[in-house]
Amino acid sequence: MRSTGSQLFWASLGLVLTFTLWELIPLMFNIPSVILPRFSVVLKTLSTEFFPILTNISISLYRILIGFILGSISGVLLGFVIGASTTLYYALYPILIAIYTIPKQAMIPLLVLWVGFGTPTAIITSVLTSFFPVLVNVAVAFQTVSPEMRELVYINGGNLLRLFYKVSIPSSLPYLFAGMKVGIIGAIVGVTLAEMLASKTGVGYQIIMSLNAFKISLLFSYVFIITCVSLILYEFVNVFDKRLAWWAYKIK
Amino acid sequence: MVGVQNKMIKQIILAFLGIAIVIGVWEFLVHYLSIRPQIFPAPSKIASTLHQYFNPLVSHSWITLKRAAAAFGIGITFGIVIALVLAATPIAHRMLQPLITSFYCLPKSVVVPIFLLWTGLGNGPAILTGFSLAFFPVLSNVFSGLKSMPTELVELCIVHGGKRRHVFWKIGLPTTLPFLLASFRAAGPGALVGVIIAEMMASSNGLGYVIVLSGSAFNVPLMFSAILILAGLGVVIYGLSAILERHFAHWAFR
Repeated sequence: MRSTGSQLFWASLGLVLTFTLWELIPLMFNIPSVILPRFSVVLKTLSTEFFPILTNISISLYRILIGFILGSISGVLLGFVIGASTTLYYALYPILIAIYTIPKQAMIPLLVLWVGFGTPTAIITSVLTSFFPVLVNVAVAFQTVSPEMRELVYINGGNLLRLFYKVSIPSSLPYLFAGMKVGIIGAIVGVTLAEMLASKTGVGYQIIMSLNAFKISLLFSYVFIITCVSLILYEFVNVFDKRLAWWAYKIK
Repeated sequence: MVGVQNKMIKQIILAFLGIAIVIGVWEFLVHYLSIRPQIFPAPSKIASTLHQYFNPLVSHSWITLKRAAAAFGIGITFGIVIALVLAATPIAHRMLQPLITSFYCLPKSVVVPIFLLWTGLGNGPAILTGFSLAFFPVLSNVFSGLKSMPTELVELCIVHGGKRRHVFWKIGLPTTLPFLLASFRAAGPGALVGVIIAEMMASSNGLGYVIVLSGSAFNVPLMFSAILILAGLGVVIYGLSAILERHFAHWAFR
């Protein structure tokens, strides 16, 4: 294992190099800023349009988080129920996989008709995109608890409750976090897309607006910022994963 | 053996039973609560819509499928090549790691307008967005595959005078193949999702376009049909990759 210091050094070198290239390539090849604005131009737009960007980011963030939290909690609960019963698992698993493979983003036009334009559609999209990865992963994790562990609990006088508490829940944690990592990215994609198709606020809408108004540096600023937000949320789930399910990484 | 077969038969019966019950309850509830098809069409209504719009739906699905296949192919190629580069040069890996994570986190929906700007309406944004979703599972799986080469075997190969390419062909390829095939299960549906997202915003054909168009025409049965076809395509792609994996990497007990 290398030291974190040198890792950090190479990582920042890589990022600095990327930003430099982003700055230099449009200059060197004379790419107009309506095709690829330079990094400095994007940064400048970020500072001049700071407050509108902040407002729209917080609107989107609110939709993402509400949906993600609701989706994850209901995914965990239903995953427990389905995973705990073998019959239910085999009966529902194919349907779940079928729904899981439907791009939830394709349901946005339907959701607009069902729950209405704007925030409701965005939140429900976020719920749907984070719900299924969590549900499927938790259900699979519950089903695949090792038989030896199960027997060990029963031999030592444990019951179903104790099996859940001591074995099933801890061993499903890495799967839960894996599902949440897919879910959070999905929620961000879902909310921004819902905003692009059916909203008058939020990052997605602003991106479409800047494209229509040909304010390309503003478009890139929004893309840059939403990527930063996405990275932070992803790393946040990652930190929880490493803290609570550290033993899953230790084996490697 | 008999026990295993019985268990499989039980699984299949339960699977069909589950699907049948869901469709039955759906049909019954729609009629019982007399929900209008503009809100939530019954399975029978969707079936008749599928029949009515059969030809256009097939041609739009075919367009979407071709784009997804192109995105999938490009995604696999780039994924493998970049994984090879990163595994071969540790410095490149450490420099590019944060960048790769950032691109992974970049919501693929917001880049559609940029692709639209660069390539115009239609195939360009669809294939590029599909590619950007198919690429990551391949990259990360092939990379972990290359990293999990047994050190003893690599040393053995080098001790016997093997070069880098021998290590790659004799050890790297067999260890990586199961990882690569496993990534198809994520990359295939990923490519499809990417194509659909792009088609919803930047295309005048394909299933994504049909979904948005039927939404604005309040033709909910048509929208359901398109979404159902999409789900079917997703299941088929997922199933094909699973079969491929079982066929070519059955020896890998992962």
